[in-house]
Amino acid sequence: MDTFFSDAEQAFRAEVRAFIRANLPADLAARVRAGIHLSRADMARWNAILDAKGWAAHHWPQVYGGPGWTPIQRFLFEAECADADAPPLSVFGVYLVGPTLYTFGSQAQKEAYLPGIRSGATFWCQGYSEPNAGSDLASLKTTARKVEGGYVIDGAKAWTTEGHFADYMICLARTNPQAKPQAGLSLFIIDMTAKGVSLQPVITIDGAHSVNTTFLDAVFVPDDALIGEIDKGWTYAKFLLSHERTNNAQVHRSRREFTRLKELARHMSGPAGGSVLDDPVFQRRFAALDVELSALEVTVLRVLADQTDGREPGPEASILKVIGSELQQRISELAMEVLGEEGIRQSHGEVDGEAGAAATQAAGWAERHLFRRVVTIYAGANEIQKTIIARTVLGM
Amino acid sequence: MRRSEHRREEDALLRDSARRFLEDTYAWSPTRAGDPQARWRAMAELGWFALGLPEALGGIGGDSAQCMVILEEAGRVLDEAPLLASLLLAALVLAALPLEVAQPLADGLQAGSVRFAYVPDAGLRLGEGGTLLSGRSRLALGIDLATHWIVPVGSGSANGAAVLLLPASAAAALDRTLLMDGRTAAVLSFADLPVAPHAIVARGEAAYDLAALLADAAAVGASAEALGAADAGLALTVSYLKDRTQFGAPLATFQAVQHMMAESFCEIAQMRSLLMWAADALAGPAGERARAASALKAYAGMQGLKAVARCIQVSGGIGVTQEYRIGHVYKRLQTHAALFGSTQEHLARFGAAA
Repeated sequence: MDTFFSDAEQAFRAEVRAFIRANLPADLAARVRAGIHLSRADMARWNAILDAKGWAAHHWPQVYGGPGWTPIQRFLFEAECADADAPPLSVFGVYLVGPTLYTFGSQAQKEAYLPGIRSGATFWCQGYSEPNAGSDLASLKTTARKVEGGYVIDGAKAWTTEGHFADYMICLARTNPQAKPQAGLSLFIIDMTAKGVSLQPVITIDGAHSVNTTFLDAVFVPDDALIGEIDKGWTYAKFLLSHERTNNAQVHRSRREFTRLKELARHMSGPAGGSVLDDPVFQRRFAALDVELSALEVTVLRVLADQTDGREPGPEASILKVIGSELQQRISELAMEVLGEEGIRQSHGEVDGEAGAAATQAAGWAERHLFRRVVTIYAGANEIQKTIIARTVLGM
Repeated sequence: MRRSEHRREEDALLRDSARRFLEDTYAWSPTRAGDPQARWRAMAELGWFALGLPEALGGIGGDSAQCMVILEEAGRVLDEAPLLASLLLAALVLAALPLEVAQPLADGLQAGSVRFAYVPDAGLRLGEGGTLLSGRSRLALGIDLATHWIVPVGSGSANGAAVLLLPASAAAALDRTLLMDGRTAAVLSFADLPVAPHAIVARGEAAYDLAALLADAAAVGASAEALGAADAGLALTVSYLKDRTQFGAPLATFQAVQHMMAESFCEIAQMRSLLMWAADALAGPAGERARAASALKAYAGMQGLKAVARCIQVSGGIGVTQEYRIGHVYKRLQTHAALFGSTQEHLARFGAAA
């Protein structure tokens, strides 16, 4: 897709690539390849390396420590990071909470929390969904009651990803029970060590622990834990969901996984003797998937071009989540077909050669394949997204 | 993609004026009729054939993206005019000719008196020291309206490749046929036709490169028409769904139907992204150009067709009648999926280049 990038942008890309090559620890990259859930220490380590270079909060305004890149530069940076198997930055801290705080937070909140998010010293989790409020977020029941000097929060939050190692939660709670469902919500910062916060692990389909249910039993938060104005939480949350839409497409990770899968297929025996990649049926399937992935890359670039030029996002912005999540699943589905029996083994004996390559990678692919069922469900289930497209874009 | 505001405004004006002209004069109806020659002259008067021509030839030096705007708009009304060759390919051929040969052709093209047809190669060859043309073409559009034929020969390899520009009076056997979408096309056969030296635009390596460029441009242009047709088909269907009441409510309010239209919308948006890539890449290095063209062509032949098939489904019975437009949109996409390299050919080429 070189045609879209200027010489200066290509040079920038080369600079990013050289930096990553020189600074990304090999063991970190290996763990990114091996599975989908990373430890806090691994994520923090890479975050700190980027922060030292001034690149961690790469989409933040310069005044808050961002590098002042254009949307296209950010695209290229993310592409290079994914391509090198660098750990992803924390979705919650860098992508969600940071922009929330610098857009709506108080000066004190910005000073207290932004540096830690940028450096990777503090981790955040998101407290939006509840056991009875998933995609129907506006029906959430957690309440925040005004008391002397602060608020008392009661309720339960579901699907708290990385909650078990987060320092803070950004929590959406009902502050005005009389208002319409969306109107009476507010955003709070909760210290995860506060009295009344407890977590219960939820083991996901891949057998791993990355999400939790969080119980909030009479958790006291001080007045300055409120973000922005009272009862404006829904507006803030919605603003942010539209803010980082291109991140939802996960196009760079998908491109990297596609490339890795092709590499694996090149080294595995196909049904007719040659490699899997020599097999005409697999070849066409790889090509068809690659075509769709290329289209998504351009769609992301279209949205970024609008951002760069200060235009309102066009209707194509609404398709990023639907297409991006479906493609993530289709890549891992194809991986399972490429792997065959190797993909379903939960353990592998001592093997080398071709079987060895498959054996080392199989567990990671299987884990991703299973966990990826979630991507069409979270961040607004794809059915919700399609309804939104039909209603708001097509006017149905 | 990253077009200047000035270019964007130009594109929008061009799109508006083309849409007005096409809808005023040739809106789709099951019974519409038009005089192809007169319509062609009207298009020439609008300046369409100057868009892709360089300023050196008296054109306005527009880029391929503006030609795509016209093709897309023509696709919206399912226009039958064989615009592709004259709008997009002619400039590529003329650029390879000496100025004194190219200039009168460029003048005629802009006036509407010179009209090109693209005759895709299916085993054409130049024998006898490179002077006698033999063999068969693939299906060619617009043969009856054309004054000149663009004929790539031996384009499978640089050895023996040539690109010819033949007058439409050249001796060829025409196997004419009506296509699925109602347009006329022909397979041309030549039997030892003597080719004058001045009819040879390029030979060898240069011809091989030009033939590849022509093939890619044809695939992209045809897909631009298909995109226009599909986009208009979706708009037609959504508007029908808002009007049509069943079970006491407009069909547009049924979620199952909404989701199907959202899926078609996503696919058409992705197709537009690929068109932007392919149009941009037409002016660049051959590798990316071919990849982008094949990606677009294959996508249009798969998801594009599927997007329109869904429109037929939600239209119900009228969707399968000859009277109603959506079936004709489907036929146009099906036709374009087969022309200028099939979906599978493009998919294979895209895969091999990756």
